[in-house]
Amino acid sequence: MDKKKSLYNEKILELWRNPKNFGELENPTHEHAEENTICGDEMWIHLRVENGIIKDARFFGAGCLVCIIFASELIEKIKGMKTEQVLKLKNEDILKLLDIKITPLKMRCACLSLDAVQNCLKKGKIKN
Amino acid sequence: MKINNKIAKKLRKDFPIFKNNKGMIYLDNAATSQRPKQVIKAVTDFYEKDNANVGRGLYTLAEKAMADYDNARKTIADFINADAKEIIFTKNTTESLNLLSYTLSSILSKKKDEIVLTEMEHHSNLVPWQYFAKKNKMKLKIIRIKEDFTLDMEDAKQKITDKTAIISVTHVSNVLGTINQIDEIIKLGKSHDAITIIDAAQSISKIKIDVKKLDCDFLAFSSHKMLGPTGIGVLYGKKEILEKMPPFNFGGGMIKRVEWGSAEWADIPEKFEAGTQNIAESIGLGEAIKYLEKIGLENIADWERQLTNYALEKLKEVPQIKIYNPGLDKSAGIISFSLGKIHPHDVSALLDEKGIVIRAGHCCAMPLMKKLGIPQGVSRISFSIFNTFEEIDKLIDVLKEIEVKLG
Repeated sequence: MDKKKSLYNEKILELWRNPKNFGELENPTHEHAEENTICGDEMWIHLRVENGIIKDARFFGAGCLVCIIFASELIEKIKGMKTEQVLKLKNEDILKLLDIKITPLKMRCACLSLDAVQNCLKKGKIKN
Repeated sequence: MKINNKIAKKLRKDFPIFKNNKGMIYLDNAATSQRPKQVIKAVTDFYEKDNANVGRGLYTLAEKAMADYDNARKTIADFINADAKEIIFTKNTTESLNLLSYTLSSILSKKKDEIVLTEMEHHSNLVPWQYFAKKNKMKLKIIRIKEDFTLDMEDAKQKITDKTAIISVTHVSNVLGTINQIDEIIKLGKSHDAITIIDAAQSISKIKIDVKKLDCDFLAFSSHKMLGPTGIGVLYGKKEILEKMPPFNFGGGMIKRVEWGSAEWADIPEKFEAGTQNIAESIGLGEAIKYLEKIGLENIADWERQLTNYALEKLKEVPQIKIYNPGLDKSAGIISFSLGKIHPHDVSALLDEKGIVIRAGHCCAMPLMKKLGIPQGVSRISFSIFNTFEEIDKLIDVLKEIEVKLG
């Protein structure tokens, strides 16, 4: 069976029901909310950055299934990465995280979390 | 022709899209309608038999093209009981409304500085007026909707005053399906000497409009929402007002005489129609109107009412559903809903996997969605003559499955 055929298969639904890294961090160094006004979605990112490395990361907010499952995978990927590497990630890198077909209309949803994370690093530093 | 389930299935055969998309359940008619073969043929026939530019050529073919084009304008004028000179061809409702927002300021009384809209306006009847208001230092006043999704007419009476320069209101809400009491709003506007504009994009294919009886100053609609081609729309305007307004676009076709330093405008409607127009599409729109009239708008409305009645009852069976509709007697063939916390885009994608096409999202009405507390928007179904009870049954079955899967 073509894995890319139905988006809403059990494996994907399971990931959507229990996304990894969903919720808030207790002591983030960075936080940011990214909006996708076209879909009415808002995604919050919490990061804890120490010595240029992402020590921990979480996300929360509302979005469609595609938006949530890619965020779940992206956050998992960036934990332990250098911030400069995270800032270099491209949309194509995100799409590789899950083996599902993303139509042009759903690109923004799949990649919302990347914008959210990168903007969080750029402008989300919490001032003490 | 009275429509029933059997006739609806027969009418479906007029629409070639279903030959190429077998079994598709098309419930997104408020976004754009499908075209019957009669309309497609009229467009093709023009290109194959009569194609020439209009208002320019002096040969037989150009005369034929001109006659087709004039006939289309006459058909449209008769359809809403206007004079052919009062029918301006535009690209769509959006452009019709933009035309007004670009040209009205010079004819408004300087003493008036308010524009009245409603909370259920499509972005196309909100954003042009935001810009207009800013540019002309005017204020926007927005008539509220009530909890039952109808307009608050008491609020309308408060907001429409002697300061009101323009009232621009949708006839039927593209989200809620609400039919607004535009006759009352127009009367209110007239009593305060305001310009009255009706956005008829969602009503034109199902509610008979007589602009003389309504007495609105302007009426805007799109061909593509009434079985006609895309790329053509209409702005109706009262002759005496159109004559006072400056042109919208400048160029060929909209002038009487041009000198190096100046130009004299053509009479209406050409004054507002610069450049070569969408000739074939106007003819297609004329044919769409003939098709609608052959069935009868009252029969179309009656069938959509039966479908709406059936759908409103059946939708209640779906757990977690919330319906945003004022009820059968106050709405016209459009039903929006949300399904628990499931994102409308997921509802739409899952329905699509089963061949059911609906609209999902903000439906070009972001402020209304915010007001309703649903920034992610709604799932919306909207009917046409070819929809059937069985299609609604299938929709309900799949919605129930989605609710189990994602709810």
